Amino acid sequence: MKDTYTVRVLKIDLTTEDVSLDEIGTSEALKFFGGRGLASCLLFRSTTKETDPFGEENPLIFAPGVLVGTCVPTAGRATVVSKSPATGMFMKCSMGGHWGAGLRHAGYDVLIVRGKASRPTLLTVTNTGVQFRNASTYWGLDVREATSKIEADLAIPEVDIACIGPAGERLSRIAAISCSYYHVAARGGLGAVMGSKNLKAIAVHGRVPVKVADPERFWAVSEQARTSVANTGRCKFYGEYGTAGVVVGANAMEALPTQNFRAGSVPDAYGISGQCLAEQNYLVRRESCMACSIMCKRYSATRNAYPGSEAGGPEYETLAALGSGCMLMDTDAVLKANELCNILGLDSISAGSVIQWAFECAERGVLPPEIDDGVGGRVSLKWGDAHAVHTLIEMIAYRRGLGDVLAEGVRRAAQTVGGDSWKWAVEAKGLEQSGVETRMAKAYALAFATNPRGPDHLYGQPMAEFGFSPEGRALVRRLAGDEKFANPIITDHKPKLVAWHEECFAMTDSLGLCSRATLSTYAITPAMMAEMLSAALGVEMTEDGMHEIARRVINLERAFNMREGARRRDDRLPWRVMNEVLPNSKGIRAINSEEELGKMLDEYYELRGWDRETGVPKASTLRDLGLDEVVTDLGLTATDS
Amino acid sequence: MQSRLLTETVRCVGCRLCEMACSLKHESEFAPWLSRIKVDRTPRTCLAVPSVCRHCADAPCVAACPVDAIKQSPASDVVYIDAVECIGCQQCLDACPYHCIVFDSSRGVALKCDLCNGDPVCARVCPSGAVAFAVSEDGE
Ligand code: SF4
Ligand code: SF4
Ligand code: SF4
Repeated sequence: MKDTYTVRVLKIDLTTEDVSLDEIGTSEALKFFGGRGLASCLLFRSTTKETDPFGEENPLIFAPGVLVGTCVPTAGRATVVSKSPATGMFMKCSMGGHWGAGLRHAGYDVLIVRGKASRPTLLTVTNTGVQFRNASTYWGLDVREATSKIEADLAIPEVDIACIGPAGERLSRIAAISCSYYHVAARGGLGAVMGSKNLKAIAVHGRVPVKVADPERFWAVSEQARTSVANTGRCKFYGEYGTAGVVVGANAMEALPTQNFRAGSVPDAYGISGQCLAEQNYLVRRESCMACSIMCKRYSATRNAYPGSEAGGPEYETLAALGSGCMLMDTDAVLKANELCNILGLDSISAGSVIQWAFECAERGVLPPEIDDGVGGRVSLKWGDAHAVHTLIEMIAYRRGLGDVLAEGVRRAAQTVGGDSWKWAVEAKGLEQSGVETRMAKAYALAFATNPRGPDHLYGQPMAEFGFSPEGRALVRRLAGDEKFANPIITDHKPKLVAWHEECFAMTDSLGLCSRATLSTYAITPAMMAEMLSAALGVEMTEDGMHEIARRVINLERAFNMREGARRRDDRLPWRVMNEVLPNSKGIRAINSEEELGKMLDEYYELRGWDRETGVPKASTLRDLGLDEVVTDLGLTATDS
Repeated sequence: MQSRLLTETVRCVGCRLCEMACSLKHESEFAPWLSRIKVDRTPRTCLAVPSVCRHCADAPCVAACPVDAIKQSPASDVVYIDAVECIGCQQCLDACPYHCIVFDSSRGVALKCDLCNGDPVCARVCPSGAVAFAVSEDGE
């Protein structure tokens, strides 16, 4: 392979303040796409089963996608990987905004941060060098205060900042990393990994151009992708109403998690919908991440209560977790909750989940109905209580009172509180389930179960199963042979659908595109992505080639968890969705039963070349993908097949 | 026939596609700081404001240039810089009331919008309609 592309890996040790650079050539980089895939590979190689997520040795790796900094639509995203303090397993997050482009303009493609600083530190990475600055004056500030102050103090025009809030500083296992204020690497507690390193923020800026091998060919494919985005109905929908626009439809399908997953709908979801935000003037303005022509991002303000409360979002997931999930249907109150999660640096999905769980615990008598807020006030643990939701968010971020327990995430909280409370802790692998009612969506159920992060939508996202859009139905037709399989409540062909989506997601992340363009709307196809890579890097890539690399990435990430001891038994869903039938008006007996999930898993493992009993990738599968090193790491012998 | 790029700030979503398309077209690489259209972002409030050359009728940059490197096409009114004649003094940068001239310090020349010879890529890629190309017969 021609050496047209070199990945520059900046390695920073916070303990010793050592800075070094590795350069990885085209063939090695492209074995894993260069973005998320390469970051996962570097993570795999630099950790062991013994690595403590909060230990100095756990690396926090940032990898803007290969196309970040170019004009293909949505090419603005950066992947962050580390060993998760929530699950103890592989974690990747993707963040939008402008930070990823900033890192590339500073001259780097991957940033690895190791060690632990002896004092709160602000890292600046620019094309003139790396600096370790004392961040004591920012420690304790929320994301918005800290980011503003750092911007003012650095006085570098167009600096982009990734930062943690009080939640990350206090090692909450549900803490997020926020970049450009409101774009978060939310899941799995990576904000706490940053906190454990005493790293408050990373500022990036630079003037190193991003080059492509064939500018004309690249322009042509970016025009093709842009036109496709402009002409795809679902893209227009997201531009109009944001991800929040999905709330009403999900509610109608009874797939909107409600009251801690006890139901799939609320009587009226309008108040927490994107339509309401736009029509009732909560929406201050639309925003877009770097290079994105979908424009799903929002900046919203409260109208009738909580004066002065403004923030990025809210997203669908936030509205499901803090709205219907908590039975909080008041628009202003939900916006306020969204702002608090934003600025305190919490994953709103997990925050909503632990709060719902606490409400249910109180209802069932495992927690008292009223508790101290830790600063002299009282909170009623009551469904839909706005004061409780807001106060609990603060208590979690600052680890006050019960917040200290909830900051550990719902699995650990249930272990502390005891009784039957684990049954309504809606998590698997230690991660709180995101806002899809999987009992009403079987491909999602399988994708959530096999997701190495835990039960959430950002590894597979098989939206096509709902049959919402012509693009999605066409994909189902292609993969399953008939459009009739675009039906969320049947299980036929779902493993194939899930495998395709996981692979498409791996390409999407690695190239630095947004899943909103490639999976939720299908505007950008793997064939287009192959053409983008070819034009950008001067290599010839095919759609099949893309899928093969994606499979390598997925197997490697799977192997990470296998090395940690995960097995088939961990590919499951929260107890509630596997044991309690979802009440719904559609006359469907909706549940993710052991039997149903087991059948899909069998078929899925077969497809992937993984052992049916254990779920471990077979040695032959790994070797076929060129992952021989992993075979040894997993202790598989040459005769294992 | 005259043409202008019109900006409508309230629509801008801060995606910077205009900057990247402009820099690819003129520099064959992605260097948004060399883009002739500039988007000022305030991430805290998600505000973004695009600004681009108006090709003013009585252009202050033309008047400010000591070596007459900035010219205005009599046919199209397009104000453009002749890079060969530009001495890099940056007088035009100070003169432009809209801060729409950029300076390429590596080559020591000023750069400005030339309306892409009548096919502005910034307007073409802008997803929100914040930058639009308007052609009029009467110059308005
Ligand atoms: S679709 Fe939304 S989240 Fe994705 S890149 Fe565009 S603005 Fe960002
Ligand atoms: S018209 Fe052309 S030169 Fe002028 S700002 Fe737009 S893209 Fe750049
Ligand atoms: S392309 Fe349009 S919306 Fe995007 S930054 Fe430029 S002017 Fe704003």
